[in-house]
Amino acid sequence: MDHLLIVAARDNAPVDYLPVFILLLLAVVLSVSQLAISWLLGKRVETNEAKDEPYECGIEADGHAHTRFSVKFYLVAVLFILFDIEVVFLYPWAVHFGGGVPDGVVFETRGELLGFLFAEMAVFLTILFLGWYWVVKKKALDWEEA
Amino acid sequence: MNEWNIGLAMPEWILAISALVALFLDARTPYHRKEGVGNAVWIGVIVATLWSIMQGFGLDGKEYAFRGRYGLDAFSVLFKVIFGITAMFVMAMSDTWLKRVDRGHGEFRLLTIFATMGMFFVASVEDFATLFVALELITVSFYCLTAFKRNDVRSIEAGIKYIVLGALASAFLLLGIAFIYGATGSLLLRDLASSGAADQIGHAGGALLQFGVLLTLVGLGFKIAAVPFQVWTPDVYEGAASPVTAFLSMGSKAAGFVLLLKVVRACLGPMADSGLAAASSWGALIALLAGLTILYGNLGAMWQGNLKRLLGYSSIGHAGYLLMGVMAFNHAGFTAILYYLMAYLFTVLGVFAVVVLVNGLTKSHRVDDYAGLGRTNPFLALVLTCGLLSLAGVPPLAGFFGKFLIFRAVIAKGTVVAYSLAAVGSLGVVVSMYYYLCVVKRIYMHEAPENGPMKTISGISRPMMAVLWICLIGIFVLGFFVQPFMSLAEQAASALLAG
Repeated sequence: MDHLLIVAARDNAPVDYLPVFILLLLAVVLSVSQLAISWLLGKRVETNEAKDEPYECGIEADGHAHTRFSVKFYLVAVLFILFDIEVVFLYPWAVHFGGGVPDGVVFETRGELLGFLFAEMAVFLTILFLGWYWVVKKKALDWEEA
Repeated sequence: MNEWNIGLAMPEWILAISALVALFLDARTPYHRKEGVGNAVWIGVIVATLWSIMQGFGLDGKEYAFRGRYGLDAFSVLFKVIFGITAMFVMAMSDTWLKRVDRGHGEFRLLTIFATMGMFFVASVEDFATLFVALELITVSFYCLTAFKRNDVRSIEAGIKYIVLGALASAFLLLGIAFIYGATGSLLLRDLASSGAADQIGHAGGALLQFGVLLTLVGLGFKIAAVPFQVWTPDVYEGAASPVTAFLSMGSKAAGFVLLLKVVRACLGPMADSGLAAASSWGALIALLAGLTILYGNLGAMWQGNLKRLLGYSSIGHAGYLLMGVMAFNHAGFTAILYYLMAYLFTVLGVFAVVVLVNGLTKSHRVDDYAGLGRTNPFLALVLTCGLLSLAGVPPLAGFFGKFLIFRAVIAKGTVVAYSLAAVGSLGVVVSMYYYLCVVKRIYMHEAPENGPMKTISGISRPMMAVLWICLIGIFVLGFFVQPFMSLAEQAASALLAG
């Protein structure tokens, strides 16, 4: 697969990076212009207590933002990211299973290619499910006990 | 080169399987019975190391696996053995240390073997994608290990500092890899080494490539704790548990240097070969970093009252000496780096083994609490003294020959930059003598304080005793019998240069 990429990227010239620089320019222009416009057109008001309050949908803020949360929330968030990434990885794999790679580029036959793709994912999922088993056994998903 | 040849990666397979078995056992067993996990991890590391040694004997030139993504030569084998021994020593220390901790035994051992697996992969890296994944496997394991004492504010602080700066460094590394790929169109190190870089230098792609290499050096500079990416080192070394600090100072640093050598060889090698002006400016940059690193590490260490902080600064200093070898950028320089790392292995792990044992009694790492160690624990005092003198580079201990070879390689370059770097380096050595000897003076010349914490330490476990003896013997053997180890280092350096 990467053979094709190498061919594509081998003959590069500075002009190929033009889109990158346009994007960079746009990012700078956009952020600077927004600050500049609000500075130029905005009415300058002295700060007061109401203005310094954090804005939360027009409702008065209740309490401080820097409170401590139970570690359980972070645990669930981390585990969510882990299995979320798994799906992100799994989904395109399933959609493109075997497609897009011509025969004989990386593998001699189609069977070899499919076998390789299947084996790779099987190894990945085995490791992941062993991790999941560990997580369950450690009671990380047990809200009451964790 | 286009073969799968997956049997070549047998040490990594062994480590992976034993890590998964250990994970399974850890899930199955209750808190207080983690011997099974420990055994699986021990067996995995021992068998993988022995297998690497065996591979080293049967090796013919360079062999590839995974379609050229994984390479095995004398250089990789040497480092796998170094990493394997480091992991074993660290595991012996952790077994002692974990007795003082009531939970998390399984996780600690699992993280140790994950990091070891990353180090084994690092030694065989042949392209930038594998490089990044292997390095992250090490680093992420270390984030968790650093913050392992979760009731200790210092440990949490160390973990936070390490993860924030480490993630930043990884981002630099990744961006650098993207630029290198953009400039050359290949992620394979040998593509860069063979044609890519030299072809591209004359063209506009040369600037992109050099920018990419610069960003990559930032990422790797963080791992080896070189100035100006060193600020995390003393805090992390102090906050982490002592076995983790030992693992960081040897394993993580050596892994950083493996990658630095591979990347520098692949990207800057062609420039040096074709005698381009860019090569000498890179040499000057590395020389500047090396000089600053040596000065920062050694001057910072002078004022430390905490032995682990002192060792943290001293580890920055040693990264500077090793960078001197990178600056030399020839066979002699690479050989010197490899010899230095072999000597550093026995030296620094011996020192940390004593630190782990003494900390069990005193619950502190203050240098003052080592007063009178020579009277109460003569053997530990001997190991610590030899280790510190070897770190300082006192002949005829192991550390002396490492430094000697590095200085010889740099001076042989004969340029003004090389001479000034050597001058800065020798200044660093003189300064380091002072603070290492201050500790030695405490050990032997000062009385143990009345009712002080220092008593005779009993009940040292057998693996721990073995670590102490092997380190002590290693420090002397690498000082007296230079030739066999020198030829190992020379073979590995030749393999690295052959690409």
